[in-house]
Amino acid sequence: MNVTRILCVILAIAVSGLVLPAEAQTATVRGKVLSEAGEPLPAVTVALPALEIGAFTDEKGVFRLENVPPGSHTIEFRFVGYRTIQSEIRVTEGRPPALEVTMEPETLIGDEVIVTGDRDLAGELTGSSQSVLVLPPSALEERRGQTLGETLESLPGVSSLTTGPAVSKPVLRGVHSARVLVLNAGITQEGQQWGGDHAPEIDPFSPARIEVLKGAASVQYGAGAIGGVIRIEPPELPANPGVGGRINTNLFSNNKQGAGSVLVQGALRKLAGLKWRVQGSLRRAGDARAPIHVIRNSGFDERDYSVALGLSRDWMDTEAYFSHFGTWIGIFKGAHIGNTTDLRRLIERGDPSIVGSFTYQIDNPRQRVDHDLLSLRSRIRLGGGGNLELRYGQQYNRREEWDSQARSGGAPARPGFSQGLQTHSGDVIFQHRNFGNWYGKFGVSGMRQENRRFSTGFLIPDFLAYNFGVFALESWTKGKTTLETGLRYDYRWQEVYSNEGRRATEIVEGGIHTYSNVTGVLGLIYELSPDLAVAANVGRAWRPPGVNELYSHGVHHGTAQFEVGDKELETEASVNTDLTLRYQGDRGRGEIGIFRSRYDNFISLLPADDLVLTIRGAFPKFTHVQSDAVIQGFDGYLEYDLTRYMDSYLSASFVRGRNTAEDQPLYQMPPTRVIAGLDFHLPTAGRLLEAGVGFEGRFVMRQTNFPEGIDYADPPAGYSLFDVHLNAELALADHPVRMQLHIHNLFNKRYRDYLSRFRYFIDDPGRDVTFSLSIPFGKPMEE
Amino acid sequence: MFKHRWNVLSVLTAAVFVTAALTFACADDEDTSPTGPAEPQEHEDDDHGPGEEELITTLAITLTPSSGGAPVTFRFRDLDGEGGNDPVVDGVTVYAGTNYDGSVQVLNEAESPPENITEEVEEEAEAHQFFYQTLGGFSPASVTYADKESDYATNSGADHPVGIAFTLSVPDNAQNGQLRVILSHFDEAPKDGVNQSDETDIDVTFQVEVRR
Repeated sequence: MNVTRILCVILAIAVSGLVLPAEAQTATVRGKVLSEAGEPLPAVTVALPALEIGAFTDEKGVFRLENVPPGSHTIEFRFVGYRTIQSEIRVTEGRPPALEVTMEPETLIGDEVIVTGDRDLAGELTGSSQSVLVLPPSALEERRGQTLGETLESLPGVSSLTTGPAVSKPVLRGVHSARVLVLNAGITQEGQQWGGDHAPEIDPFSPARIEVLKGAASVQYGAGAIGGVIRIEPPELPANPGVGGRINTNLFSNNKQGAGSVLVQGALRKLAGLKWRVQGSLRRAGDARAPIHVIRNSGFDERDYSVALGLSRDWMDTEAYFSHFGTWIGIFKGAHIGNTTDLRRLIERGDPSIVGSFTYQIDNPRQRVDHDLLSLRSRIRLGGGGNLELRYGQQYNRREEWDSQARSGGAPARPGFSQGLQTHSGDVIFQHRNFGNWYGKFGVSGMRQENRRFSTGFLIPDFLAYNFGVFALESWTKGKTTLETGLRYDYRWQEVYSNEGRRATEIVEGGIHTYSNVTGVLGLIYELSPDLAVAANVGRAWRPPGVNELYSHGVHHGTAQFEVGDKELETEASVNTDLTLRYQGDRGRGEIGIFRSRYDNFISLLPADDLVLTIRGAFPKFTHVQSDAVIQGFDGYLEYDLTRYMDSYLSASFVRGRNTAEDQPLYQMPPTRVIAGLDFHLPTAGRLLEAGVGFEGRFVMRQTNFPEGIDYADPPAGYSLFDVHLNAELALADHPVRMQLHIHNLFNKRYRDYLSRFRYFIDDPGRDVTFSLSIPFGKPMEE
Repeated sequence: MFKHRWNVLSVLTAAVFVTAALTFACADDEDTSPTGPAEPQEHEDDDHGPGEEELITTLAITLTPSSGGAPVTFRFRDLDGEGGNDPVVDGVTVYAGTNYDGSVQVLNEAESPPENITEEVEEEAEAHQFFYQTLGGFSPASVTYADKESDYATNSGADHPVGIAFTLSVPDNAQNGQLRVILSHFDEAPKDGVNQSDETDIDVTFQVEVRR
């Protein structure tokens, strides 16, 4: 089927949706409002401001809003002395499930991500002077894919760098790895994140909410957040007594993946304020399939769990969270080549050399990754106003990679390399009460990190590093204007140990490096009208060179490059400007952002016009070099409810990167992409609370801006992919059970993505039919 | 050892407040750091590190004139592995109008005593093959295989050559040029005796001087 025909079909459906009669079926929204202690709160204003519908809660805290048309609405809860709650609800015809809302006293402000005082970032018009995309639990369930990267990659401005179907890294506005910071339960995730084939160690079932902040956020998060922040939050612990939970399962046809997760949580009745949660996930996948080949050895076997314990008192909230992530990942064998001749031969032939039949077995080459994270967070409410936040994180990351078979045949007994990375981090942040129109916080952060290489091949040397940072962020709000500003100082001390007694090539001249920098930010948000706001942000950000960039030395077997580090590299710094226009209307919402980042000393891996002669042949030498660069572009989305039964959305991402010193494009910039979709809400009745069907088209252009002479093959052709999905929500035993059937790559299209590191060797995966089911039990979870 | 400690932590999350605070407070002290003392147990049985198990440092070609005469050996040696110091490559000298019986030896000379990798290739004869290319002015010369897989190991299926033993014919019209030696590793891709694999273990080129 060709693209035009499909577009015609979508258009025809769209037009028929437009002429559907808009009957005035309405619903009653009811619910209960409770205080933190679980007491009913009377006289709370509950309103749907857009519809001018409102009511007060009675003495039992109960409210009813009559004659609400079905669809998505913003509901608002206001009460003097309590923090106003704004939330999105989807109203279905008949009797939607009752809402239960807990309101917190106003002094409780201070979700740590908030840059501009007590405003909630979630989809709000004036939340941040930067572009922030929020994925609430329902969206996460809909999007949960093979990997975290796949979950995020359809967001505007986000793409993913893949190393086969099981390894994907989020790319924010063209940058990734060491330039994107992942925050898990408030703690900066520290793995060997510099590696393009080292995916974030996150259980895809664990987040209840993901926020993607595009653009530098160094003042808030320190070095490393030069390209953006992905903030992953586990569910909030329940405030009220009772036990409840949720079972999730995901099935994927392409790689026959079965995945399941169980979450149970509760709060004690006897010991008020003590709450807990346990969660565990299993994910097992076999070989993925490209339309005409099996991607041999691309399965994974992942087992994760987490526990959380929280205690709330009038004066403080404390939460301890521990998570373990553990996985085996198979790496497609055909990508493990010997030398440049092998790579050229493969590219010329265009077909993988190694094919086979489906199996769950994971052979070499493969990775074993374990990540343990402990996060302790406390928020102490101080008498005179203001909060004190204390955060401590401890992490241990162990990564082992096995090469292809040993030269002498058979599996190597030990990994090609194995490293352990231990990180302690701590933050103390004071959030002051508002002084007039001023609102803000200041704090200090510290980190100690130690990398230890076990007795295996060389990748990066052992090192010990300390980071220290101090920052202040303030915002000023008056009327329709919010100004924000911040300043931060960071210092890093790093000692690299020499590798005496190792092979000559591996000897690293040990030594101490220190790096420091000052960063700042200035932001403005102006509300043009009740549904339109403009935000602008100018900031400076930096990062120290990574240990791999300083010291790597060896052949990268996926790309047949001899990569050489440079220990004289200096810090990379950038000035980032972005302008965002936001729209939050009755029938639609959207955002468009234009950005420009100018880098000094941008570190990239470039050919050195030299060959390294080895017994395997001669490899082109690539060195880490620094030059000035500019990355700029725009991205955005628009969602619009065409009729009561039909929503449409459109998103686009465009980014260009240029090495301004060499006057050539940067390598591996994401190609231009447009995603368009239509969602239909089907009529519901009885136990069927919600039903829908949706279509999506994804159009990715060929990357035409690429540097000459770096790559063995030109960027692959552009491609179009189509998805269809069906979703339903059923009331079973008073619980809403959600299910979804999703077909990705409906027409089993052969394609290779420019950001796939396996594009030299094999096509990207073909059709994937996925089924997901989410069954809540016990006391409903707060979302 | 370390793992165990984490499991305990995970169960007793409450106790962690204290433990963690203590660990953090002691973080400067190397000995209490959870990565443990500097020597993980994996070290015990080798001095060089297992990453070097896979190292090939040396390819040696021995040529013996078929009509009799002293054998001559030429080497490609890279004792410190990839990168570092450049490899040392001997020049090959042969005489026009001469046939040679050749043999190839693969070594890891970073080990002491040197590890003979040829033996491993012999054991895995069905998964390996040497390829020889005569290039430039030397292209009139030709290499023929003088062995079969069954010479080294039991063989199932077609009995393809391995190329550890070969004959080199240098005709009168051969000029100075190059000899390229490739060792292909056949893992999953089938070995057919003719085509190279995509997993090259060795690929070296010798300069050849033809004397008359």
